[in-house]
Amino acid sequence: MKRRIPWVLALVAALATAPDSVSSRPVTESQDANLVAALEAYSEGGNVRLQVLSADEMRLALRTTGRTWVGAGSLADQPRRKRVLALLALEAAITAPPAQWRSINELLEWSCAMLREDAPSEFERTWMLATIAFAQSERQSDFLVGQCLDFSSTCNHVGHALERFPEDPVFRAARIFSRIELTVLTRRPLGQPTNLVHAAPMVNNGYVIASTMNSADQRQLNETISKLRELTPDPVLGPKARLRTGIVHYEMNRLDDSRREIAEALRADLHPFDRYLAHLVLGLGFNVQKRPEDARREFAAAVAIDPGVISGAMELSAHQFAIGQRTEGSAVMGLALAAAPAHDDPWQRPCALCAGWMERLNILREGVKR
Amino acid sequence: MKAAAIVLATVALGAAAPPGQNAQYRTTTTRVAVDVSVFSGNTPIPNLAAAEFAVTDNGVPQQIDAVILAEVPVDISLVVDVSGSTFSQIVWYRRDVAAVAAMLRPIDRLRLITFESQVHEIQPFAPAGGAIDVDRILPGRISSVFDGLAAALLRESDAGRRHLVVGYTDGFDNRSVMTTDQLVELGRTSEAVLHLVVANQVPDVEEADRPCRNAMAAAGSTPLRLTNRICPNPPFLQQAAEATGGKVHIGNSIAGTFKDIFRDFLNSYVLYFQPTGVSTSGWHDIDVKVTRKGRYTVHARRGYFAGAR
Repeated sequence: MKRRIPWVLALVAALATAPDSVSSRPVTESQDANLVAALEAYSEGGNVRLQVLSADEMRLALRTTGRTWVGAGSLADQPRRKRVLALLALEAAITAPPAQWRSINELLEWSCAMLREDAPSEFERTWMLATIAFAQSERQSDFLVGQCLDFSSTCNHVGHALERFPEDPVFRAARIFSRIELTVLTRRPLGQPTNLVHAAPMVNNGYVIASTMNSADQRQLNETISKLRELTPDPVLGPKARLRTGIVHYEMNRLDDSRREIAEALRADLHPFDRYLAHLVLGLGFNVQKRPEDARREFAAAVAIDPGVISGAMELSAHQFAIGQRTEGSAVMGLALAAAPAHDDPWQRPCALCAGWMERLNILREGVKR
Repeated sequence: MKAAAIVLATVALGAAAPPGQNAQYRTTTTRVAVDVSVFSGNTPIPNLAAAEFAVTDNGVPQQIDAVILAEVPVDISLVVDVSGSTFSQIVWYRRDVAAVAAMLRPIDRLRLITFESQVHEIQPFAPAGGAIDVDRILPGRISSVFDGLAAALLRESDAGRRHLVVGYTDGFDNRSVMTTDQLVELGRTSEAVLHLVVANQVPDVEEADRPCRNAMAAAGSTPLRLTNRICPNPPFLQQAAEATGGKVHIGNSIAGTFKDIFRDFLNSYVLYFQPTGVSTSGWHDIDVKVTRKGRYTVHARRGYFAGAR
């Protein structure tokens, strides 16, 4: 019986600095050969384009073929080879169908345990940050900060990071930032605490829309806001905490409170990704209130930060079309569409540690080169 | 059986030369261009004269200056859903996109946009006949249907050219920043004509589909029969398409459905009139009818914006 190929690798053996000259070659041999070729390509600094159908199959392949590949290296090279495996696992997780979130979490947790076999490194810290950010963007709060139950093999990933880097304030803050209610951003405010604290653990599952208020959910939300407030004195994490608080207020349709918190956040030295997100949320709030001029101003501020991001450009362009400024709106949308590859969009990753996401991935790719 | 005729009308605004000597498909501040497709069943009706059309602008009858068959160049934006559920169909999409490119006339241009969670312009407008790098059509993860369509609609038509947007999707959106209301509004304000090909339609889901149909009925539109899975987006998608003078088609082939859409679009007229007795700014309701004897069904763009609101 012909062996099923559960995931497909299209390898691009060219340097990342020359993306225009690359050509993809679909690999149709066995998955083991695909995997080894991908691991070697990472080691050589090549671009690897992954298409993953099954996160489970990928994990099994990494456990067998991947570990064999690590063992085939010299003792001195084996830690680097483990890093290659961990990077490939993360990139596979990003590519895998989101409905396989349980398997994706197991894939990441397996990689996490493998990295923890060696002494902590800067690579591991960056990998931890990247995986936490990815899981936040996928609303995987149980994986990040959930209780470890008997039947759950994936839990407390942030705790693992803290065991390895106990003094790192970012990982300490991640315990708060990874709460499910801080990973949600919607086009229209959800309006009830229940909708936030019971958001589905998968981005394309949508939201449970509750018609009644649950006092326990309100208490949880209050506690989260209180925890965020404790972070505000920190010069780096404080503005992020204020931005998250502002987004929670937006989701609760407390738009004045939202604007106050976000304005405070914008007074600080936020990462451009977070600044973009701040203006986007402000604009969405004005959309809700049918204040198009104010919304247009905020979306324009977002576009000024990065014209290559789709969400703010699309909002601004739509507002411009609505007032007959088709030439201007067309130009704004055209500029965003011309960005290739597509710029990382805060709308797609509205999580606290997602700023600098692409940079982190590039650091990891650099860190596994032979 | 009496033949029914369908009239599709669209309006584009902007600077342009008058029709006749050098047919330009755009509208000046004093001249409105409306492109109209007339069918009897599925057969286009040719040779209609200006006197056989009736146009009202905000309810005021207008004098049609000229009617020409729409021989103007067409810019086609092909918008394809490549979210995770389409993984196994990518190879077919690539084949179909190449087939669509081969259907165009030398004067036409093609743009290719794909969407998953993000929107990607795979190819900006390029003259027909050029090669398209279909290998860049790659499957993604979750689906931003509204954003993909909005990205295509948010483009001003070039002078002398019409803009046809054809979207192919299962209609299931879960990550767009655009709301349904915004997309419908964009259908009103965009110059493009939007046709949607919605996949995965099944016939016997009356009960599961009831919320959709109720919403459609409330909105004054004719409901499609749709699967529960793609409820409730298609009613809004249908509203957006109808607002542009286009419509929703059910089909599982991009190329097959495009062939019919493009044929109908090419067999359309352009009517020109100078608005009289109406305001020179704001929203204008447009109504187009064919006065030739017979039963006619009319689908038309709801109107246009003259100047800033």
